[in-house]
Amino acid sequence: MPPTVEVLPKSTTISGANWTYTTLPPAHAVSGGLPASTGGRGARNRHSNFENTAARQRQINSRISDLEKDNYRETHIPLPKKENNRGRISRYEILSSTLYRALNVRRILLSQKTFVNHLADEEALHPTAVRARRSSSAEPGAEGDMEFEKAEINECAIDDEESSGPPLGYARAVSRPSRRPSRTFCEICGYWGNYRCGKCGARYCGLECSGVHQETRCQRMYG
Amino acid sequence: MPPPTTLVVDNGSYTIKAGFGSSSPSYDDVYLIPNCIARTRDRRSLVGTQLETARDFGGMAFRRPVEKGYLVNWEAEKEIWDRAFLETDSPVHADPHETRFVLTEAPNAPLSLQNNCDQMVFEEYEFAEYYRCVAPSVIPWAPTLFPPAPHPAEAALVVDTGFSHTHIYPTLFGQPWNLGVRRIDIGGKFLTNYLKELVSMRTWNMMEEPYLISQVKEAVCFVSTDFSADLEKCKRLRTVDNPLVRDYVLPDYNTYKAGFVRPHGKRGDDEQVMVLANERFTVPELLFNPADVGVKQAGVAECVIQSLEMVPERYRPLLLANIVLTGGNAAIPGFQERFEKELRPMAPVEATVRAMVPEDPVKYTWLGAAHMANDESFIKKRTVTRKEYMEHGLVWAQKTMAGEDVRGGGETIKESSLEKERRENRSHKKRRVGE
Ligand SMILES: [Zn+2]
Ligand SMILES: [Zn+2]
Repeated sequence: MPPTVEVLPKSTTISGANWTYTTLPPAHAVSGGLPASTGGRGARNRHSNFENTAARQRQINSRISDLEKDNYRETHIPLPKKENNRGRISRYEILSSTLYRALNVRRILLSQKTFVNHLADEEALHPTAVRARRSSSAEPGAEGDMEFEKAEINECAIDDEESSGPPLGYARAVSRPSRRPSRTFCEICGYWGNYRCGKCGARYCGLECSGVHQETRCQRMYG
Repeated sequence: MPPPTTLVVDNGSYTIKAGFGSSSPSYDDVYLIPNCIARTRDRRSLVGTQLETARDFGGMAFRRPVEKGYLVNWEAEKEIWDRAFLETDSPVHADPHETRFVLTEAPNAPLSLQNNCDQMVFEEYEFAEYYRCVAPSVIPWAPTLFPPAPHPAEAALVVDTGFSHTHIYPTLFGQPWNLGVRRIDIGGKFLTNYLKELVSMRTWNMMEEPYLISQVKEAVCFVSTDFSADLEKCKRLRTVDNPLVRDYVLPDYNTYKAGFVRPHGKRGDDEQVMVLANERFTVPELLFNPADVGVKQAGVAECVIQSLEMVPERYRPLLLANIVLTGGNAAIPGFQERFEKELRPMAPVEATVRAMVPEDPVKYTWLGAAHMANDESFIKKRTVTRKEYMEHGLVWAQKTMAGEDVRGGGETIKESSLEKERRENRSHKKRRVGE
């Protein structure tokens, strides 16, 4: 490669892949280890102690929320600055002008509410609908509102010329838990995780992966 | 007189699918616009299609206006929409005053977000006419995957699996069966992040490389049709004679060489290679077993059964035989086979289980919406003009778009083709899938 015209002090971090081989990945540092099991209904009965602890559930929830992120680190990405060198006023710029904006539009554009905030608003407006579904997702065994919905559907079935009513809303439309037994995987290699670390609860498949785990990963949460 | 142009926009959380309506809509009419503002590691912000001009995707971060599948941040979305729909050099720019705007959203959007959207469309963009519809609800109008089924389809069970989430969405005679609509909180982003986590733990630290990992995912991942057997094959780590193992040669952003996949083997001196084995199928597996990472929800096939439990029994066979698998994840190799394989034993023995993936599952919803826009009698009832919005307000507009007859007898509107179909079907309800 020819030398670049201007060598910036930080050029090495700007260009070129800066990946590193990892032994302890940042994922661990942040989320505190992989869940060893799903904590589903099947697992509940088999492992009564560790899998059901609140700490374990926090571990799982924190990992799930990591997996829903757009970026690994929280970053604010600002809008690009408007270019003013076009030499003409486009319709786009006219529409962008705040002078022309109605009050509603300004409020919407300035809103920093997240999806969770909007959901909370919805919950405040329609508390019963939300609570019905909540109770079942928090407690996988509860089928109370299932029955309620079954009754609802039979009513619909009588008069199927009608539609099945208005949309259920976000909270009630969520899938119920799976009925299948939960599965566990080796944290090191991804094979079935039939063994569990006595110190931190992590799963592994056998002697070899256990060794790797003890040497490099073990969090010793409960040690 | 309807406005001269119709702009159809399927506003996904990963990409906006946008194009103009015509008498014969096709996939070629659709433009894909990344629905994000990306920031490069030298701190430049790229809006929408500008992302395509980037040559260095390393360390790129993303801001997405659509959060969890719902349009939340209008500050960012406006920036993207302005460039896509108002700038004259965009292939889908339009004069809103002369345009009918057909927009999709995910099912069960919070009302406050629906309000924001409608106000932005009418008060900021000032589109002449507008119809906001639920994305999978337009599938009955899309070209049928089950010929010679009637058009619009009398039954379609839509499985829409996108970037943010997956929906099971039964439709009967063109209407959604709302009681049966179900959501699974697993989508393409979740899969990418899971793959990122796995490779970062096992080989390369890729935590800050979502773009690259998404490329890797598209290049190597598949849905296993026999998960246990494939996992067994990969038990011994990355052996050369394991046909499931792949090498992904990482891109070199110095020379701007793209990454690519090849069978596992020797690596060149100047190459950085990511070896992938069971990650290839344990990642998309989450669509079928969310519990594998602790998400307390059913997989996509099991959730179809949960959905059908809420549909009158006599319609279930019809829906089981007309399943449309759409959205980006439906394109993952093996998805359709696995889906049918899992669903078959859960369905009634006498029922036909038939699921199809359209030729382009990413653009298929757009295509459905464009065809729906041609169903004049239907669209006339649902669209709201800006004048009506100004006159009757937001609630009235939303009732109209939801199909309530708030216009009353003031206008005589012809019975839509679907309504006619429903009416005609009343006499022979028990009819099953067209033989
Ligand atoms: Zn192992
Ligand atoms: Zn341990």
